[in-house]
Amino acid sequence: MAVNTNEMLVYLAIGIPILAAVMSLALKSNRARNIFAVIIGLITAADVLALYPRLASAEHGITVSVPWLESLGITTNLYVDQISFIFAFVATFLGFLILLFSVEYMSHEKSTRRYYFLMMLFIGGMVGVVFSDSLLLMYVFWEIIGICSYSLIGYWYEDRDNAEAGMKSFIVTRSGDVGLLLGILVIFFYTHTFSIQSLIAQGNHWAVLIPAALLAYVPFMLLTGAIGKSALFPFHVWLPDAMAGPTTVSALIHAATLVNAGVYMVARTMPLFVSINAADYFTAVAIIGAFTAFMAATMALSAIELKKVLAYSTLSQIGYMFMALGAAGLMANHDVGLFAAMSHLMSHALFKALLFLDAGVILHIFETKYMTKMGGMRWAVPVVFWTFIVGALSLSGVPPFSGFFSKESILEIMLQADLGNLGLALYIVGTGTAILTVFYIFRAIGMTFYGPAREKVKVSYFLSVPLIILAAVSLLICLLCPVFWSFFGFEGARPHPGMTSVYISLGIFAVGGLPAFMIYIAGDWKINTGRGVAGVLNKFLFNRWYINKAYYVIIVGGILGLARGLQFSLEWGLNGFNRGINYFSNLAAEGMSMAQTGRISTYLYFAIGGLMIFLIFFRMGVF
Amino acid sequence: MILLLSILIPVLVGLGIYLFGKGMSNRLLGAISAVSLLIPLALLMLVYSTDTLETYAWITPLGINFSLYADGLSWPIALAILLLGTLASIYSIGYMKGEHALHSYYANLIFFVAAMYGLVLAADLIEFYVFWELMLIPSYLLISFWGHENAKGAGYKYIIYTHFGAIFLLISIFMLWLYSGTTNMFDITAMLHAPAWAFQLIIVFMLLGFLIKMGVFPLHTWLPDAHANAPTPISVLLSGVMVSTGGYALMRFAGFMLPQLQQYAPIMMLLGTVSIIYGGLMALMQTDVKRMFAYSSVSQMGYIMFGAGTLTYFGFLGANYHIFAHALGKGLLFMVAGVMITQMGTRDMRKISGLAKKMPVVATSALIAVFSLAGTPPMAGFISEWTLFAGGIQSGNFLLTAVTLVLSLITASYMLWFIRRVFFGPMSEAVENAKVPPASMRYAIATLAVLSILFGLFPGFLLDVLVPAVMHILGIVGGVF
Repeated sequence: MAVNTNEMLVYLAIGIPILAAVMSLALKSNRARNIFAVIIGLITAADVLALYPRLASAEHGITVSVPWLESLGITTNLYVDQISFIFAFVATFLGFLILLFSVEYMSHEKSTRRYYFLMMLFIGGMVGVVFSDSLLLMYVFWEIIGICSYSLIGYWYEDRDNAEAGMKSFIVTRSGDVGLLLGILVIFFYTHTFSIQSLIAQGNHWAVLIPAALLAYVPFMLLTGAIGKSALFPFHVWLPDAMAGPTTVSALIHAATLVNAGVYMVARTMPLFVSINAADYFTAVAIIGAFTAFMAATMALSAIELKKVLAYSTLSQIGYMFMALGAAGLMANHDVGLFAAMSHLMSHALFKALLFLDAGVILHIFETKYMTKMGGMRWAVPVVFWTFIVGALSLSGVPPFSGFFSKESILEIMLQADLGNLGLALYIVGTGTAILTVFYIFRAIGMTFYGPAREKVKVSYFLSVPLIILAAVSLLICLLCPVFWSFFGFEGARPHPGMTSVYISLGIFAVGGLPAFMIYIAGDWKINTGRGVAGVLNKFLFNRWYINKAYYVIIVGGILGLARGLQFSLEWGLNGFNRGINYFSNLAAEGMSMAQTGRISTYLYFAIGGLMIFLIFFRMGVF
Repeated sequence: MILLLSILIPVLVGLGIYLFGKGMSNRLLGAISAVSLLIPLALLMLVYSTDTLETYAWITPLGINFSLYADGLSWPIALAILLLGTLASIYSIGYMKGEHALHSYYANLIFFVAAMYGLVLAADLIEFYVFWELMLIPSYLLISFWGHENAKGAGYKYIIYTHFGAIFLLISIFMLWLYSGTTNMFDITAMLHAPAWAFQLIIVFMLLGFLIKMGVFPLHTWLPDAHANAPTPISVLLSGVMVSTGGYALMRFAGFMLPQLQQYAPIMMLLGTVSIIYGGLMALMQTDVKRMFAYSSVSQMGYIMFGAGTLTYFGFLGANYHIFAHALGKGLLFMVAGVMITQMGTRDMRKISGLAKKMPVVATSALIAVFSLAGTPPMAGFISEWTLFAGGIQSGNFLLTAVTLVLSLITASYMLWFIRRVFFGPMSEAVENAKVPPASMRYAIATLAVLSILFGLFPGFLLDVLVPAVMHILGIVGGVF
C-alpha cells in the first residue's frame, strides 16, 4: 500500500504517542522516561503542525483508510480537516509543554511508568478522537481517553477518595456515552455507514433513511455523549471531583483536551444536523451551555480549593463554547458561530492549562489544596504570580488578551438578528456569567497570592519555561485570528470585536473585579459568608446547588436500595422456593417409600388399582 | 480425522492420568493436563476458517452418526474452551497445591473440557445431548470433592437443576426427531414439519433447557452457589465457558426453526435484559468476591441471551463474540478471586483493599478484564457490545434496545466498584501480609489480559469465520441489514 506524506503524518500523529506509550513501559529509570516522553511530545506536536500547510492549501481534508472491521464489510477512515487540526494541535502542543512540566513536577514520584504510559496514551487517544471519520472509531478513542482519565484521576489510588473520584468520572461520562453509542448505532443501522464525511456528503438524504420517529432523537443521543464528556449539566458532577489527580493531568485532560471532546463532536456533526434543520437540538445545545456556564460560575464563587475554582471555571467556559455552537446552528451563517467557538476553545485551552500549571506549583509549595490556608504567594514565586495574572486577565476577557477576542465574539453573535429573543437571553446570561468570572478568579488571586509576604522559593526552569511560553502564547494568539479565519476557508467578513466590545468588556471587568479587589486583595470591604442571606447562599453554592447530593441520594441510593430490596425479597424467595421443592420432594419420597412395605398384599392392591384405572380410561376411549 | 484426534487425545490422556497418575506431582499433572489441551488447540488452529466436518458411524440402526463440525459458529467457542482449559490447568498448578487426589482432579478437569469441546462440535442432536450430560458429571464431581465449604450442597443443587434442564432439552430433541425423522443438524431444517402447537412445545422446552444452563433469571439460583463453591480453576471453566454453551446451543438450534422462533424474539431479548439488570444488582450486593462474579455471570449471560434472542445478523455476531470475550474476561476475574483465596485466605472483599500496590500486574489485568466485560474499547468486550446492540436495533425492538443499553451501565458500576474496593485504597492487613502469587497463576492471568486486548484490537480473526457462519444459519443471502 503506497502511502503519501499526508497520510503518513495522519497515521503517525495517532501512532507515535500510542506506540511510545507502550514502549515506555520497558524503560527502566524515571530519567529515561522523562527524556523519552518529552521527545515524543515534541515529535507528535511537530507532526501535527506539519499538517498545517497541507491543510491550509487543501480544498478538502485528508482522508486515510484504516484496516479495521473489514470482515464486516465496513470501511473505516480517518479524516483530518481544519477543525480536527485545531483540536489536535491544542492537544499535542499542550501535551508537549505539560510533559516538559512533568519532568520536574513528577520528580518526587517513585516510579513514573504508569504516569507517562497513560499521558502518552491519552495524547494519542485524543488525536484519535479528532482524526476519526468513522463514528465507531471515534467512540473507541473516546473511551480510551475515558480510561486514561479514570486511571489518572485515581493516580494516587492509595487514597480512597481519589479512586472514588476516578470511578465517578468514568461512570458519569459513561452514562452519557451509552446515548452516544445508541445514536451511532442508529445512524449506522439505517444509513449503513459510520463515516461522518459520507453522511455530510449526502446532504439530508441520510435522514430520509432513518424512521421519522427516531430521527428527531438522534441528535440528542449524540448530544448526551458530548455533554457527558464535556461535563455539562446534568453530567457536570464528575469534573470537580476529577481534580483529585495530579495537577498536570487536570491541566491537560480536565481543562484543555478531554473535556473539549464534546465541543469537537458538536462542531463536527453540525453540518449533519443543520441539514435536517434540527432547531430544537441547537437550541438545547445553547441553553445547556448557557445554564452550565452560569451555574458553574456561581459554584466557583464559594469554592475554597484552588483547583476546584479552576474546575468550575472550566465547566463555565465550556458552557460558553456550547452556547456559541448552539447559536451557530441556528444562524444563517454558521461559520461565524463555529469560529467563535473554536477561538474560545483555543484561547481557553491555553489560559486554563496555564492557570492549572500555576496552581500545581502553588500546591506543591503549600502542600495544601485549600486557598484558605494559602496567601502571600505573590512574593514567594513571582513568575507564578505574573503568569497567573495573565491567565486570569485572559479568562476575564480583558483586551488585548486572547480571552477577550474569543469571549466577545461569542457574546456578539448572540445579538444577531436571526437568534431573536433566545439570543438576547443568552447574551444576558453570558454577560452576567462574565462578571461572575472576573469576581471568582480575582477572589482566588486575592486568597492565594496576597496576604502576609512569604520567603522567595526557587522554581525550576522545567516549571517556569512552560509557564512563560503559555503566558506568551495566551497573549499573542489573538494576533493569529485573521490567519485562522482564512485557514478555515471561511468566507465573508471576519467578525472582530470593535471599540464597543472593548468598553463592554472593560465594564464587565470593573463590575466583577472591583468587589473582588476590595474584599480579597485590598481587604477594605468585609463579607460575612457565615450567616444571613450570604450564608445561606454560600452554603447552597458550596454544596454545588445540592445536585451532587441529590444524585447520590436518588441514583446511587436508589439503585442500592433496589438491589437490597430485591436481594431480600426475590432472591431469597427464589432460594426459598428451591428449598421448598427440596422439602416437598423429600416428603413425597418418604410417602412413596411408605408404599414400599415389602408385603405382597400392598403391591397387589396397587397393581389392581392401577389396572382398574387403566381399564376405566380404556373404556372411556382415551387410548 | 483432525477433530476426532483433538477430542480423543485429551480423553485418553485424562484416562491415563486417572489410572496411572496417582503419586505424580502436582506440577507434572498440571503440565500434562495443559499439554493435553494445548495439542487440540493446535489441531483446532489447523482447521481455522475451513468448515471441517467429520462423520463416523455410531448408532447405525437408528441412523445416528458421530459427527464433529467446526464451522464459524462453533470454532470460536471451541477455541475459548480449549484456551481456558489450558490456562485453568496451568493455574491449577499454583492453586491446587497440597490438595488431595490430584490425579483424579486433573483427569476430571480434562474430561470436563473435552465434554464441552465435544458439545460445541457435535453435529447430531443425540450426540449433542450425550455431551450435554457428559459435561455435567465431571463438573459435579469437581465441585463436590474439591470445592469450598458448602460444596456438597452446591454440587447437589447444580446437578439437580441442570439435569432438570437437560430433561426439557431431551424432550425437545425427541420432538424434533419425531417431526423430522432425523437427528442430523444439517438435514433437520429442511425436514422439520410440525404442527404449530408442537413447535411451541419444542421451543419452550428448548428454551427451558438452555436458559437453565445459562443461569438466566429466574432460573439462575443454582449458578451463584455452584460457581462460588467450586474450586477456582473450575469456576473459571464453569463461568467462563460452560454456561455460555447454552447461548451457543440456542444460536445453533435457532437455525432449525427460525420462522417459528421469530415471535419469541422479544421475549428472549426481554429475558436477557432482565437478567442483565438482576444479575448486576445482585452483584452489587455481594461481599464474597466469587459470589459477585457468579452473579456477574448471570448478568453477562443476559447480554448473550439478548444478542441471541434478537435472531439477527448483528445480534448473533455479538452474542458469539461475547461468549468469547466473556470467557477471557470472566476467566481472568475468577483467577483473580483465586489469588485472593490462596494468598490472602479470604474471599471477603471487605477485608481486602489496596491490592494494586502489592500486585500491580494482577491489578492491571483485572482492570483490563473489567473494562472488557463492561464493553469498553479497545477491549474484546467492546466488539461484542456494539454488535449486540446493533442487533437489538436490527430486530426492530428499538425501545427495549435503548433501555438495555442504558441499563448496561450497571455492569460498569459494579465492576469498577469491585476494583475500587479490592485494589485501591490503603493496604488492609490481609494484603500487607500477602505474598505474590506463584508464577503459574500470574502468567495465566496476564495471558488472558493480553488476549482480551488483542481480540479487541484485531476482531477480524474471529469475525472472518463468524460472518459466513452467521449468514448461513440465518439464511441471509444478500445484504446483512
